[in-house]
Amino acid sequence: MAEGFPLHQGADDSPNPFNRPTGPTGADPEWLIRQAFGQSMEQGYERLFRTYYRILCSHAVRYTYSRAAAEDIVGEVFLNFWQNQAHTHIATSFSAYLFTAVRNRVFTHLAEENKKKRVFGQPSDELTEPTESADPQSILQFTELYQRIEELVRTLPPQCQRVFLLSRFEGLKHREIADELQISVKTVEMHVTRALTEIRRTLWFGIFLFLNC
Amino acid sequence: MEHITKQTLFAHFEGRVSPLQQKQLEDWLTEPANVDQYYRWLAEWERMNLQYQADDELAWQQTRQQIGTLTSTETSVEASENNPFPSVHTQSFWSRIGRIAAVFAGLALLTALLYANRSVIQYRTIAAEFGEIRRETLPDGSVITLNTNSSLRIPRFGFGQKWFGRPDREVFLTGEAMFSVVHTQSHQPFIVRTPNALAIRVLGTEFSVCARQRRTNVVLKQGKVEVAYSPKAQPARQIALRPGDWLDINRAGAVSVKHSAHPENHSAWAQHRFVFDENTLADIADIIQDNYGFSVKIRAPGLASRSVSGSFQANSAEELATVIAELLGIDYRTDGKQIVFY
Repeated sequence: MAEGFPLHQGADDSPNPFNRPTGPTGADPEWLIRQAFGQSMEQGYERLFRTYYRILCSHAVRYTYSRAAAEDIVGEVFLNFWQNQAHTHIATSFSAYLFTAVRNRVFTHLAEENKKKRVFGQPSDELTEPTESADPQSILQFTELYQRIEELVRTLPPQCQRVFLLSRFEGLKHREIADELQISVKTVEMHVTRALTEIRRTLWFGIFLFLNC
Repeated sequence: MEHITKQTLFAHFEGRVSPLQQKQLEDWLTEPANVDQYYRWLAEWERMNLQYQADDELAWQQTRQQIGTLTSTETSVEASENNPFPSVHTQSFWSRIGRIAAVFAGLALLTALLYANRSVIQYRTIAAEFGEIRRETLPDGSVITLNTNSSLRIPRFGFGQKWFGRPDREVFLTGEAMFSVVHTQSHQPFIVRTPNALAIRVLGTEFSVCARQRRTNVVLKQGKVEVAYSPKAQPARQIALRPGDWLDINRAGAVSVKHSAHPENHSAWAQHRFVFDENTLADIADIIQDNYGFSVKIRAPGLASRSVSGSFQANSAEELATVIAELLGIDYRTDGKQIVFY
């Protein structure tokens, strides 16, 4: 079971000479998208959108915890892709391009949301296009960041966690949460504040590490 | 290159790699082709572990409209030839605004309606009537058997998939049921909640829960179970059960754990069998009421505390009453939905 040459061996033991993940139809999604762009810009773009929109929203929400924010970010990335006609000049795979773009915007969003009085340095200027240089450490650490956040949310006290998820993920107003859980609005606010404070603490530490590696 | 496979990456996405593997990944990522590979696998992994199902159809329609707007402002002259997504393009500015507003108004109404019926939409209920025993397989593969006059409420979507809205597999039981819970790959806990402040937490195991008005118990057949009992105005208690353990909460709220050599007797009802072990007629009266909805009266003095042991087959309240009466050498009569022992 040779594992050393990812480009020439199906690393998961399946007959997969180019080591590509297979989409639901068994064909490489990247190849299908490129084919579609070959037909027309519109077809390619729609294929790209339908292939990756949901996946990117799911990835983004691991950081933002707000579906609305995740969808805004992913929507912007796709719009940007169209405006820049990115398919004509990207050198990487579509997934690499899109994930990097989403992650950059997610980072900016998080940094904005969690600004502290004493800033160690300005969060990087909003990157409108992902850069070519993909630093290995940054990539890995950014992945780790959502794991850290998830761990933190998982260990919130049950009621606090429940309130936080209803507020952030479901987008309910405090009044609605109070009614749903039969508690006071003040209690809801207390839980939300607590959750946000702890997340901010985790995030800030994570972002700090991220920018200073 | 070190041993980097799709499995390694999946483990990394799940936070399960060792520091050594971490270092290997870093080295592996210095190659640009591998960065591509990283994200291809991330897409695949993410597809299999979606945190939620974003509405891509709606989003696509919105994106099409936005792009139509952009393109029309940029290329007014070549508009008719270079016409991406033409259906949006040829409308006037105001009618486009009107359409967008209508869509949002419709969405707002729909959202309001959905919100008002959230618990109906979010959950579905499996119910067994009086005298009915209902067996069903849940979306995660777990099997539940509901005793008569019981119901189980489960999330309608995504049960068994770990996501933010649902870190656990949570179900709400009223009545009595037997559970055969599968252990998921993601080690997702299965939690049974009842109206009387019980929360039973397992990973994968077989147990039965009785959460009736008059009787509350949890009996573990195999595996491991953690029971949290948190009634109002009382400190919460956490009890771990081992196979054969039988946790009982009496009407006064006192908790006791006994051990039974035959835990399966407590779910014999699934085969319409009743197994009694020194159960008093009063206990049996409770069971008849819970299971069949008959009210039971015991008219002779001292009769209520007489006990019965043994295993009996009975498919209805009358059948059970007949068997019990025979055993105890007493009589009974039925009066509509009432049984009177005397």
